[in-house]
Amino acid sequence: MGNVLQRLGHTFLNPQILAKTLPTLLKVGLPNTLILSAGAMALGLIVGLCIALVLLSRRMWLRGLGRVYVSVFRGVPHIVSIYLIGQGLPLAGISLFGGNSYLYAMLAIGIVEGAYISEILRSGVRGIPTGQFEASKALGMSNAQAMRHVIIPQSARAILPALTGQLNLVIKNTALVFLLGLQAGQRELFAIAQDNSSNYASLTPLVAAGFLYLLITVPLSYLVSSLDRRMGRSAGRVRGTSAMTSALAGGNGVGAGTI
Amino acid sequence: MTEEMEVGIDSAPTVRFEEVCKSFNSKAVLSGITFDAPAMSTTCIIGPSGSGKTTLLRCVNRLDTPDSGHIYLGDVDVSAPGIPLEQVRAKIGMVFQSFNLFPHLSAADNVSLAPRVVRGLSAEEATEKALALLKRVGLLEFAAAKPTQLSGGQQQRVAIARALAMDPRLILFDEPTSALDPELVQEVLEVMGELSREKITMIVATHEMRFARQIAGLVVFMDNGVVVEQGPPAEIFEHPKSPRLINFLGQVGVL
Repeated sequence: MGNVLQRLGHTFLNPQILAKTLPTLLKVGLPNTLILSAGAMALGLIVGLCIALVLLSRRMWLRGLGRVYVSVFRGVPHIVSIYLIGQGLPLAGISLFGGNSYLYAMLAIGIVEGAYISEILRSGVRGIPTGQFEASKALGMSNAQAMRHVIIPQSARAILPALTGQLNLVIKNTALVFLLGLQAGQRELFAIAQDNSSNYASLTPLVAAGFLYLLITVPLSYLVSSLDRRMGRSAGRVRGTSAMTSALAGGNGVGAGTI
Repeated sequence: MTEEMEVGIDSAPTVRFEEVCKSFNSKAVLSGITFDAPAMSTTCIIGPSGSGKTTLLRCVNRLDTPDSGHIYLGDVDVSAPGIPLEQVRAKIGMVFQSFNLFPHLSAADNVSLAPRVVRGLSAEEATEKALALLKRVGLLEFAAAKPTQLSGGQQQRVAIARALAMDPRLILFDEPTSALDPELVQEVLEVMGELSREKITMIVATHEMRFARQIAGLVVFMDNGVVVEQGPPAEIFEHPKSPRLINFLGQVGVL
């Protein structure tokens, strides 16, 4: 029995190994994970926004292209996309960042996440009743003005939870960059944890890395839900509720027939 | 788009419908609508649901585009391809059956948004204008309220103020009271009645026969995508000629 506990302890939570690996995890892994995450998120949001606009375009061929993008990157395992982009581009002679796999990794994750984020943004805009577009149009607003002043402020709240979930996934997916091979100083949490785990024949470093991931992702979620509440206060009511109440109050409500 | 092209809708226009046709999925909704809605007067379009009233109004500010035919506001053919839509729409007010207020904005901001964004008024000017218009529709004390905090009748009055904020010379009302509880209808009709005394052309799709009888200069009866009968309210309501109109007025309890 004691033997079993000892083995469990050594495998998952060995204090000596923890003491040896924690400094590197904190000094090298954590900053790298944060930088990679921030870069990939920024890129993912930019790509996502562009693809969302493409998906919402009135031109069918453009929407078609957008759909292909989304289907491919959501349909292929991340690991495959990351190999293909991160190793493929330099191999094919498109060496945007020289031999720096760190930046390729950021690019690869951003491109993949952009596909997911674009769908979230698109559905956010699609969720706004058409009457809102029509009222904006009837007042003489351009498409861009309607989006900026009417549609986006209303969809922002609706997409926030889904977007947070996706940003958490971005953080976790940064673990995949180890595939591309990193220099010692570029290693993020997972790469360091994995190296140390095999060196010490104990999973303690991975457990520690897991906790550090939680240290990033859990506060992020709370931050966003408090932001959500703050927006709720300033925006009066939730969009969804208001659409529903006006539908109830108005009988024929939102999106009444066109004929 | 020829953005520079100035659209001359500066005084309340006569709205001339010429052979307007529109189908959705090869189902004809409008089949050759022809009539004139006179300038500075209120024209009420009556007729059963599905007769094409809403679609006809939506063709005027081009939320829908006619398949064929023309709609003239004064001299301007708003059904012409390449017409500067945003400019035209900015001069046509529209009030929707389901209000379509912006739920994230206060009543005042609902009214001031378009003058600010489309006209380029300063925030102060736009707010001042919004408050004056809210006062006019009797809702000054609700300026800070969100649409969800207002009754349907109040929401529709804000929507009318919102349409007025762009100083339109033509206002389209798409069954403005059909989504309202019966006890809230009157307050909206009163605001519309007051408006009808101003130098504005109004086209109102409505089921409110009393309103049409009292306010309209011209009543147009549509059924199944065609104008069946038109005339001054006294004629339409007292001496209907076509069997379809007689039948309709019977159904709504006027005859």
